[in-house]
Amino acid sequence: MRAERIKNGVPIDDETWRELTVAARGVNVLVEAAA
Amino acid sequence: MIVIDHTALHEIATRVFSAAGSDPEEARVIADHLIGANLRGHDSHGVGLIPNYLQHLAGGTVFANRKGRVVSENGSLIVYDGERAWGQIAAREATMVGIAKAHDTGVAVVALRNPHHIGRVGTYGEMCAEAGLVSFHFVNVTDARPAVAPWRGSDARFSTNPVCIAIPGSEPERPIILDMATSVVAMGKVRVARNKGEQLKPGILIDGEGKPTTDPAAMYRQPRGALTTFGEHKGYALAFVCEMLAGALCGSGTMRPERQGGTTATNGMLTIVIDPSRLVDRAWLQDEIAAMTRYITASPPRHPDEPVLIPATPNA
Repeated sequence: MRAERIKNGVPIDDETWRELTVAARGVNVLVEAAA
Repeated sequence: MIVIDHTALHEIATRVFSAAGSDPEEARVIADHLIGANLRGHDSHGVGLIPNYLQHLAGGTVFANRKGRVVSENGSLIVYDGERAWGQIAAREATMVGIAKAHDTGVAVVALRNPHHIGRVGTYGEMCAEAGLVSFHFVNVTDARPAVAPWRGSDARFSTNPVCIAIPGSEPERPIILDMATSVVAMGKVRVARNKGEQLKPGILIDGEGKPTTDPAAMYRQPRGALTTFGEHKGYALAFVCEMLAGALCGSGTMRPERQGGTTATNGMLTIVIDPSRLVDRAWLQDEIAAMTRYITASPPRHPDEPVLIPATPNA
């Protein structure tokens, strides 16, 4: 699992990603561009 | 669904915690922990926790750049107060104290109390195994809503009370790590299922009326549902003793009604660390582990695509 995710990336479901980006914006961190 | 490079995800988490007030080292340690959980497939304990963590920070139930402290040290017995620091910081420090003590005396018992949520407990077992030590970790939760029903009960009375047991493997990079909730699944996995719009397997949840359900939304409406313990009475019994060992014995408190319903999460953790070289020859131990592991995993699988695993793989 670890090697596979290091190689291919970490999957994040849409709702978790949305919640994460909203939370990040709350501390003035914009993360959309990094996705 | 998005797929993101782990280094980019780490950078995001580091930036978020730095912006939230953590110094660079603290932000890195927390990010290491969360992305480490994601990389191992424990998404329930990965970056998906960040929104709740920031709410807790804003609510004043966890503090950036706060350090825990040793309250008392009596021989090999150590009481460590997390001082409402980030749990990843306090539990890491408490584990490091236990590792040092076990190297010195052969055994350490560390009672961790009053940290914020400590995250994936396997992380601390891995630290001990990496140091060549065997460890046991029993955890409970307070200051949150209970999530797990007792066996034969119809509503939640305690949390997912995880257990971790770590043993250095015959190969240093492959420690034996048992890391599991005493509920059938961790609460975070219910969140992940809800976010994905998926149903859970039967036997995991009961609804607010105590009836079996597969709908993860049952945990997010009133009356609230509950997770069930694994293995019926056996999982329940293990959850029960976790509550007593981590909550009562550590001084962190149990999830009695007075400590429920908060908008944060506090973990108690009883950690026992043993230097195996004080009990048996280390080379002999490694040979024994390797031989028995080979024997067990050589059992012909009942399904060709499902080989026998050992507790070193996520959710094994």
